[in-house]
Parts: sequence; C-alpha cells; structure tokens
Amino acid sequence: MKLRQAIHWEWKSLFSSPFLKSIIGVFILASIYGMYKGRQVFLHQKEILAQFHTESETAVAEALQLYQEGKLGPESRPWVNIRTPFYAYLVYLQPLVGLNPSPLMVFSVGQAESFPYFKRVDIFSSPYDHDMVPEISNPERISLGSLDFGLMWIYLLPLVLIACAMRIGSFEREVQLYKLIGTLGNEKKWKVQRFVALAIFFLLLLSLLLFIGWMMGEGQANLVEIGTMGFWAMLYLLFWLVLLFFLSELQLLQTGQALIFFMAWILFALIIPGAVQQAIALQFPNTLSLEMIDAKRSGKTEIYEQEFRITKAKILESHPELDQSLPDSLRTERALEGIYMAAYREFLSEVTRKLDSVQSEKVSRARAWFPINPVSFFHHRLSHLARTDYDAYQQFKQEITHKAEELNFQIFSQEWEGVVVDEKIFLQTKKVLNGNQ
Amino acid sequence: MKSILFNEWKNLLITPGMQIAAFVLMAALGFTAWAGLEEYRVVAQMEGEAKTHLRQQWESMGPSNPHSAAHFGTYVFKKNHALTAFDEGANSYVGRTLYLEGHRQNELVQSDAAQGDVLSRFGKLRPALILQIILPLLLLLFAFQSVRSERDADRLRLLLVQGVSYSKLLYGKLWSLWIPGMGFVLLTLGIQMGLLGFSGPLVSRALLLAVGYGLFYWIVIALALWLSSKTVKSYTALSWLLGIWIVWVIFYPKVTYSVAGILYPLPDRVEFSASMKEDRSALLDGHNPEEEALKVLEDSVLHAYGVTSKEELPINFDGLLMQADEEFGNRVWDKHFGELYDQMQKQKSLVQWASLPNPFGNLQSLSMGAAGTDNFHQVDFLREAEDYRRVFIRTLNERHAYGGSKTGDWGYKEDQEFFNSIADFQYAEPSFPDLIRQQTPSLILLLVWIGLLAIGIYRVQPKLSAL
Repeated sequence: MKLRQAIHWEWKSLFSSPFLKSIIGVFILASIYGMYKGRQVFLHQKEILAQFHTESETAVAEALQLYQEGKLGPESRPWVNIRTPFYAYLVYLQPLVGLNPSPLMVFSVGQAESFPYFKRVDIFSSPYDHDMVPEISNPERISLGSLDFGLMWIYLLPLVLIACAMRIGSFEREVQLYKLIGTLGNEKKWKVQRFVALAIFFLLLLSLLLFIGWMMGEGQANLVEIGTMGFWAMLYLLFWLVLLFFLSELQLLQTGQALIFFMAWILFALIIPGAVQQAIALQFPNTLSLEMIDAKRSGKTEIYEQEFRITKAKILESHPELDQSLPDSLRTERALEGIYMAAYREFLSEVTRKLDSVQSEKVSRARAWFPINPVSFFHHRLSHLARTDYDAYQQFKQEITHKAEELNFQIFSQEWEGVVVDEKIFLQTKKVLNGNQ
Repeated sequence: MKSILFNEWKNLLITPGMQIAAFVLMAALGFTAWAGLEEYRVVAQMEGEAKTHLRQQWESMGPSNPHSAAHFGTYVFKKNHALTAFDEGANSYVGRTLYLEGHRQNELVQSDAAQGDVLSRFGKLRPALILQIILPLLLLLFAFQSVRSERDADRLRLLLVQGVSYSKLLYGKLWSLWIPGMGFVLLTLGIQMGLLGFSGPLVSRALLLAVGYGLFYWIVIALALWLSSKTVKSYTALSWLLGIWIVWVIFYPKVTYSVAGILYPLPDRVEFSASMKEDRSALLDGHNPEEEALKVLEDSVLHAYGVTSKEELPINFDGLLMQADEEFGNRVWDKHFGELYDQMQKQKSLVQWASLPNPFGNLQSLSMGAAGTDNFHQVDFLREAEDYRRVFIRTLNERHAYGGSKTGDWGYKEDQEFFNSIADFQYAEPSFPDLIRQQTPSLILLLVWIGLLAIGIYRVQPKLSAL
C-alpha cells in the first residue's frame, strides 16, 4: 500500500469511529480553551504590571512637579523632604520589579500561578519577604493543574494517541487478519505507514493550534519563538509515536495492547515524574526561609550593634569610589546611619544568595533526572520557552535583590556625599534605578 | 458466590504477569507509604526546630516596648497533617511560613512550588496517586477482561444454561476485584498507621479514607462490568471505559474548577489589597492621629477617667489607640478575607456537587479532606493563626496601655517575664464531625453512584450473540 493510501485509510478510520472523533474533538476544544486560559493569565499579568508602571510614572511626575515648583515636599506629608536622597528615592523612585509575562504563556501557564510576579522594592527587600505571595487562587485548583495547552499536549495528547493507536495491529491479530496483511504485503511497512499517518494528522493539528495560540497571544510572539515551541511539541509527539510503535511490536491483542500503552503513559507521566519529585522533596525539604527570618531579626540587631568604625571601614573598602576625606562630624546623621544600612543590605543579599543557591541546587538535581524523565523534560521545555518555569522566577528574584541593592546604594552614596537632590539628579537616579523601564 | 469468588481469583492469579504486577504494586505502595512518611517526618522536625528557635528568640528578646514587640511579631509554620504522607493534596501549592504582626493580616509564603520546578502535574508519588489513578485503571481493565473473556470463550452461555444468575455472576466478579483492591488500600493505610502510631483522630480519618476508596473502587468495577455487559463489541466497551477514565481523571476535575472560577470569581491580589486599604483608611489608623475616630475614642477615655487631657490619664492612651486600630483593622480583614474564604468554599461546593458525573472528583475531594491537605484545612489553619494573632497583639497593646506607663512614653519597656508569659501558637485540626460535614456531598454522590450501578448490575443482561 502506498503512503497516500495508508494516510487516507487511517484518517478515514479516525473519523469513522465515534469514540475517536469524540476524543479528538475534546482534545482540540480543550487545547483551545487551555490557550484561552493562558491568554487570560498573560493579559492579566500584563495589565497589572502596566498599572504599576503607570503608578510609578505618576509618582515621578509628582516629584518633578515639586522640584519645578521649588517645594521641599508634599503638603500632606510635611516630613518628606525631596531634597534628601532618602525621601526623594524611597518615596518617589521605589523600583517596581515584575516578572514580565511572555506571549508564549498562552501555550503554557506552567508554574506562573504559583509565583509572585511583582514587587515594589525598598532598600531592605528580598525575594523571601512576607509580601511575596502569588496571585490569589484556590490552592485545590492550582494543585489539580491549570487547564492549559501545556497540560493538554504533554498529558492528554499521549492518551489521544493511545486511543488512536491501540487497535493498530492488535485488532487485526485478534480477528486473524494479520497473516493476510503479511501475504498481501509487508506488515511492518503497513504498520509504520499507519503510525506515519497519525504523525501527519497530529502535526497538522499542532500547526493549527500553534497558529491559534499565536493569534491569542496578540501576535506578539515572533516566528522563531513559535517555531521553537512547535519544534519541542513535535519532538514530544514523535517520542510517543515511536514508543507506541515499539510497544505495538509486542504482538498483543486489543486489551493487552491497550493495557501496555496505558502502562507506558502511567510510567512516564505519573510514576517517574512523581517519584523524582518525591525524591527531590526528601533531599531538599522546604527551607521555611528561617535564615531570612533570622537575618531580619537577630542579624539586623547584630549588625547595628557592631562598632561603627569597623563597619564603616568595611563598607568604604567595598565602595572605594566614595569620598573618605571628610571627618564623620561633618557628615549628616543619615549618612552615618547609611553605613549600617549598607552593611545590613549586604548581609540580606548574602542570605538571599545562600537561600537561592539551595533552591538552584534542588532544581539542578531535579533536572539531572531528565534523561529518564522525558515527560517532565518536554513539559519543562514548553514552560521554559513561555517563561513560566523556575528559571524565570529565579531571574525575577535576582532582579529584586539587584534593585534593592541599587536603591540602597544610590541613597547611601548620595547621602554620604551630601548630595542635595534636584530635578536633574532625580532623573539621573531614576535612569540608574529603572534602566530602560 | 463463594465459588465464583475463588474461581475469579484463580483466573486472576494465572493471568500472565499478574503475580509480578501485584508484587510491583505492593512494593510501590510500600515504598510510597514510607517515602511520604519520611518527608512528613523531616518537615515536621524542621518545623519543630524552627518553632523552638523562634520561641527562643522571643524569650531572649530582653526588655522591650510592647508595641515594638508587636512589630517584631512571630512566625508560625503551617503544620502538615500526618496523613499528608498518604495524600499530599494542595499542600505543595500553599505557603508554609506566616508572619504574625501588628496592624495587618499577612498570608502564607514560601510554598514548595515556589522553591523549585514542579516536575509532576499529578503531584509527588504518594499512595493516593497510585490508589486514585493507577489501581482503578487496572481494576477497570480487569473487570472488562473478566466479562469479555467469559463471553468470548462462550463459558457464559454454559453458565446461564446451568441456571447461574447473571447478576450473581457479576456481583461475584465485582467482589473478586474489590477485595484485592481494598487489600491494597488497607495495606497502605496499615503501614502508615503502624509507623505513625494509632490514635483516635488518625484512625477515624484513615477509616474515612478506606470508606471513600472502597466506594470508588466498587463504582469503577461495577461500571466496567455493566458497560462490558451492555456493549456488543469489545472495542466499543474498551473505548468507552478508557474514555471515561480519561475524562474522569484528566479532564473533568480541571473543567469543574475552571467553571467554579468563572461562576465564583476570586479577586485579584491588587484589587484585594486596594479594597482593604480603602476600607482601612476610612476607619481609624493608629499611626495617623488626625482622624475623627481618634477624637471620639479620646473623649470617651478621658470621660471615663474624669480627666481633661491624655497626659493626665493614669494609663497609656497610645496602647488603647493601637488596640482600637487593631479592632478596626480586624473588621476590615474579616470582611475581605471572610468574603474570599466564602467564595473559595462556594467553589468547593460547586465542584463537589458538579462531580456527580465524576466519582473520581468526589474521591479526590474526600481523600484530600481526610488527609487534611485540602483548602478547608488550609483556611482553618489561617483562621486559627489569625485568632492567635489577635490575642497576641491585644495582649501586647493592653500591656502598653495598662502596664504602668503614661501616654507618649514610647521608651517604656516591659520585662522579659511578661513576654515569656504569652503562649506560643498551637494549631488544633478540625474535628471529625466538621470534616464529615465538609465531605457530605462527596459521600452522598458516591452512594448515589453505588445505588444506580447496583440496580444496573441487577438488571443487565449479557449480549450473548455477539463477539
């Protein structure tokens, strides 16, 4: 039989079975709905971040107006003096750090709903603060997993493939037709052609779904991004088809073949990922962030109780660009306190890095299992591309620490140098703190 | 019935690979039962140590101002229920650390999911994963195979000619699969109970788990037997059964929660915080003495003590002000968090009742509930922690007010003994009757399924003419 004929008959068989028609229909609808859910999360996060960005711009505009009017601060808050770096930047330039959603989130919500995605940073902020809470959601819903395209493609697609392929060879064997097929031609070629027909059908479906997803992401994803997403999704499809083909070589009857196919799904989709997750949890239990609690309590006290001279020497050593000529008596109280604040900030960053390194180690160990955990591997590829995996969150956490360090340094260094903030300095500092935002 | 049972078991045991499969399943359940418990122990030990460490910090704080102590606050850790070792439920997705302080109600942070990759969309390999998803699939397929092989080998015609009732035969098949299925459940619970130590509350929850899984297995097997008997072609029956399993396990639970989210939407975090802030600013703010409410409070206190200024008061008015601020704040938190929790409960109820076509959803709810890992337990913990926070802060504010200092004396300090006298937070899990009340819809719906399938099996007739 020619490939074209095989495709024709296989597709005809797919569309003549009410069961297969229903399951493929449900799969397509669920995938589209999953992309719609992904789009909702994407648009929501984008909207919230835009809202915060507008608030930041409003605060900057308010400060600029005060400078232009030659005022020291807003009338409603007489203690705020915008000529001092401390108030000017802490009140009007608090950086906003956001985990910017990718338009590919339409395809994979991943862990996006488990992570906080915005934070207004102050000088002592850390990614382990008690305001680092994710979007409000019902934890039971999150634990069941978002109904997103990633879930559909990674977990439901293999089941649809199993439903489509569980009769290939086994039915003919059961009704004693297999020998006849062998007599008429090469039975292995015939089986390969049937799997190829399935592959072509699902590749076309994938292309259609990618196009729909691209449209839902407001056409913001570029061709390379969509192509890469499609590449990994296609590899995953091929992985399952090859696996099912080899399993079908076990020459079982219908029930046996169905059972062995489902066992493969259970092994790859449930047992291996679940076992790895369990093993990693045993090795790296929740840190409870106790180190950060200690840092914010006893750690802070200890730093503020250190001898000023020693602390100052350490801080100025790490910032040689700062002026060291003036005696302390000529510096403001806030500039001197800034020494302790800088020391405490450094300490918080150190603890943050320590906690982060434990979590990074946990992630690396988990990913080391990918060669025997293909389902998690492919799932991770999709979430990684959609920036909804731990890597994106880790970047967000690092950005929080970086911005807090920068804000603290700007305030400390300018207080130290006795800078009187005017509009120009304010805008320069804004540029340093916000980068291109 | 007895002979049918023994015959079925004999057939099961001689099925190729069955003994290996049973052994693998037992080993997997044994391992997961142990691994779940081990994780529970490790986490419980860490939490215990962290709690002791933080209490030591509190008890070595030294003389402090009570209001500063309110800002120092305390941390509580969400305690895992011992049966989390059986079913992890939503535990991986909820935070573990809660900061209790003056002026605000915080939320749990640092969930497991935020500390690394979530590799499995079905959770860790815990006994519940095997007993909820894998074992029912096997039972489904064995029940199908049992009916079809009887028919395909034409033994069924012979049995019916000999006067064996078909429904009796099906019931025999049903119990022959249900008993080993339950054996796996009881074995797992037995291992975990044995290692955890038997206690009243634990045993009652374990019994609820056994009942839930027992009902579900009965439904799965009965449905497979009924459908296999009703359909003409083997492939149709198999397709139906596998289709049902896919919809039950993968699709329907997610769809019901999505629908619940649409019908009972939760506020987004920004909206939630903004509305609380707005309501809060409309009331008394203890740090902003310009508000009218302050005047009312001040007048009433001055009147009660018969003095004309705060400075003349024999007490520290600031403490009263802080407490009044707390109580106003509490009203705001109660309103907003209360509405949030109510909305979540509505979602849960909808999901429970909407699981009528999906007994798997009911089992999932029951299993999470009995294991103390559902949202009901989560909210219960948050409520208890908040109750504790209120008592904790009130104790500090009252000491600030009545401890002997005068208004405006922010340098006033209480000795360590006072701080030591404030008890630590102790969490008590919901009572068993409360748990049963919460799970009543799930139990009712499982029983409805049992009733319908019992009638179905009693009335079903085999399709003898077809292959």
